[in-house]
Amino acid sequence: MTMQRMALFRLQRKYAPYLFVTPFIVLFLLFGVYPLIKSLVLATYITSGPKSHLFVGLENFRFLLSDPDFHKAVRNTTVFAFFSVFLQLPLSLGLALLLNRELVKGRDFFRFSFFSPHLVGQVFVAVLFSVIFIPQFGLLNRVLHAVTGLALDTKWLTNPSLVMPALILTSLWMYVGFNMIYFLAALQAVDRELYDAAQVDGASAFQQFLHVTIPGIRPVAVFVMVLSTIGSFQLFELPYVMLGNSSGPEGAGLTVVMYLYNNGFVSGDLGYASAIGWSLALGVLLISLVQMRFTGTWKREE
Amino acid sequence: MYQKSAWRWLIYAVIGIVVIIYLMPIYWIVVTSLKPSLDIYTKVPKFIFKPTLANYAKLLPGHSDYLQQLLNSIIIAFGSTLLAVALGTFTAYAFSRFRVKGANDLLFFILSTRMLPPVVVVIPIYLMYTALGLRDTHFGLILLYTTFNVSFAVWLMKGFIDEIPREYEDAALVDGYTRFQAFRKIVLPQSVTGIAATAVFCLITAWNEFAFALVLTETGGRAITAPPSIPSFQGASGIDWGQIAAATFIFLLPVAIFTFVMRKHLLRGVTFGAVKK
Repeated sequence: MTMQRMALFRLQRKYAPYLFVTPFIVLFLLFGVYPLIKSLVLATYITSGPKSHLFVGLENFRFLLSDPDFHKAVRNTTVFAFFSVFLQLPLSLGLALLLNRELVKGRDFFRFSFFSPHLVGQVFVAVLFSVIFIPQFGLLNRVLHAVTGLALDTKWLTNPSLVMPALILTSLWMYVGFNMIYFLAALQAVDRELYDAAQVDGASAFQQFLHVTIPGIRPVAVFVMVLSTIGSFQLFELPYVMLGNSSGPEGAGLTVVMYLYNNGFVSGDLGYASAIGWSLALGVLLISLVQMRFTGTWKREE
Repeated sequence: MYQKSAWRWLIYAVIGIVVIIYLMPIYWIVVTSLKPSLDIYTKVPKFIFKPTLANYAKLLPGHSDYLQQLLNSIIIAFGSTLLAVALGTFTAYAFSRFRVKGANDLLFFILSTRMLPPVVVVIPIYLMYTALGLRDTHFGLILLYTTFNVSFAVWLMKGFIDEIPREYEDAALVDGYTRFQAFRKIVLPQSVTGIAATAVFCLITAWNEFAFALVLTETGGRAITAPPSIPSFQGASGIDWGQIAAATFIFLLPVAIFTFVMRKHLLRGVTFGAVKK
C-alpha cells in the first residue's frame, strides 16, 4: 500500500462513521429535540393563532389543574386506557394460548386475519364501527338483539354512558389480535424442556402455566402492557371520527389529545395546547416508569 | 383419545368464532362496496343482490378527489418508507461496526423519545412547517414520516446487522474495498430480511397516520392523504356508506399486497426485532 492510500484509509476510518450517522442525527435534532424544547417554551405563552402571544410563565399549567374540561378529558382517557389494557391483555394471551397448541393448523392464516385491523388503520376502523354501532341497522345491535334480546335502538354513540364502552369495544377489536401476535411469539420462544422437566416433577397444567409460561413470557407481557398503555393515552382517531369535533354527547368521548387538538387547532391557543401536550407526555412517562419498576423489567433489560 | 378430539373441536370452535369476528368487517366492506345503494339500507341484510361498480365509479376524478388523495398516500408512504429504511440501514451499520462516541447513550436517548406521545411535537412542527412553507406538501409529509420511522428503523436494522459476521467485511477491506463498497457488496445482500421487516413496519405506520396528516394538510389540498379525507365523505344526504366501503377497500389493497408479499418478515418487524422466527 502506498503512503497516500494509507493516509486516505486512516482518514476514512476516522470520519466514515460520522458520515454515516450525520443525516440521522440532523433529522433527530430537527424533528425530535427542537420541537420538544419549542413546545415547552410555547407552553409558557398564551397564544391566539401563530402571531400573537403573551408570556405567562406556568400559568397555563396552573390553569390546567383547575380546568374542568381537562379533568374530564383525563378521566375519560384514564378509564379508556385502564379498561382497554386490562381487557386486552388477558384476551390476547388467552387467544395466543389457544393458537399455540400443537394441534392447531393454519396458524399463519389466523395470524394474518388477526393482524388485518392494522392494515386498515384507526380511521377506517372508526368509520367501520360507526356503522356497526348504528341503532336499528347496525351489526352489533342486530347480533345483540338476536342473542340477548337487547333493544334494537340502543344508541351506542349518542348515549353518554355508552360512548366509552363503545370506544373500548372498538379498540379491543383492533388490538386483541395484534397483541396476540406478540404473545404467540413469546410462547413459542419458551424452552420446551422446561415443560418436560415440570411434568416429570408432577406439575399440573395450571402449575406449569404459573411457573413456566408466565415467567417465560414476562418481558414480552410487560412490553405489550407498556406500549398498550402509551397507545391508549393517545386516543384520538377513534373519537374524532366516530363522534366528531364535539367529542360526543356531554363530552363523553373527550380525550386528552382531542382536547389538545380542539384548543390548538380549533380555538387557536397553541400555548395552552402545548401545555396539555407536555402534561400528557409527563403523565405517560410516569405511568410507564411505574409499570416497568413495578414489574422489575428495568434491571433485567440492562 | 376421545377427550383429545373433543378438546380439538372446542379450540377450533373458539378460534373460528374469533376469526369470524375479525373478518366480518372486511367482508362487510367488500359486500357493501358492491351493493347498489338501495340494498345497503334494508332492515334485513340482503345477501343476494346484483353486484355493481357504481360505488367505485363515484370515486373517479370528476366525482371525487379520492384517487388523487390515494396517490398522495402512495407517494408519501412509499417515499418515506424508502428513505427511512435507507437512512436507518446506513446509520445502523455505523452504530454496529464503528466505535461512535457515546453511541449507546445516544441510542438509548433516541429510543426513549419514542415513548413520548408524538402529539407533544405537533404544534411546533405545525409552526415550523407553516414558516417554511412545507404545509400541504408531499415533501413535508415524507420528511416527517421518515423521521417518525427512522429511529425505529435504526434500532431494528442494528439488530440484524449485528448478526452478520464482521469477518467477511474485514476480508473485503483487506482486499482493497472501501467501506462503502464493503457495505454495498457484503452487508446489504445479507440484510434483505431485516430490510423487508423494517419496510413493512414503516409502511404500515406511514400509510395509516392520521393526526399529523390532518393538521399539516388542507381539506381538498394538494398533499392530503387518504386517512384524513375519509371523515369528510359526507354528502348532503348524510354519509354514503357504499362509497366509503369502496374507498376503504381500495385503500386496503396496496398495503395488503405489500404485507402479503412481505408476510414472512412481518412478525419480526412488528415485534421490534424481538422475535426472530
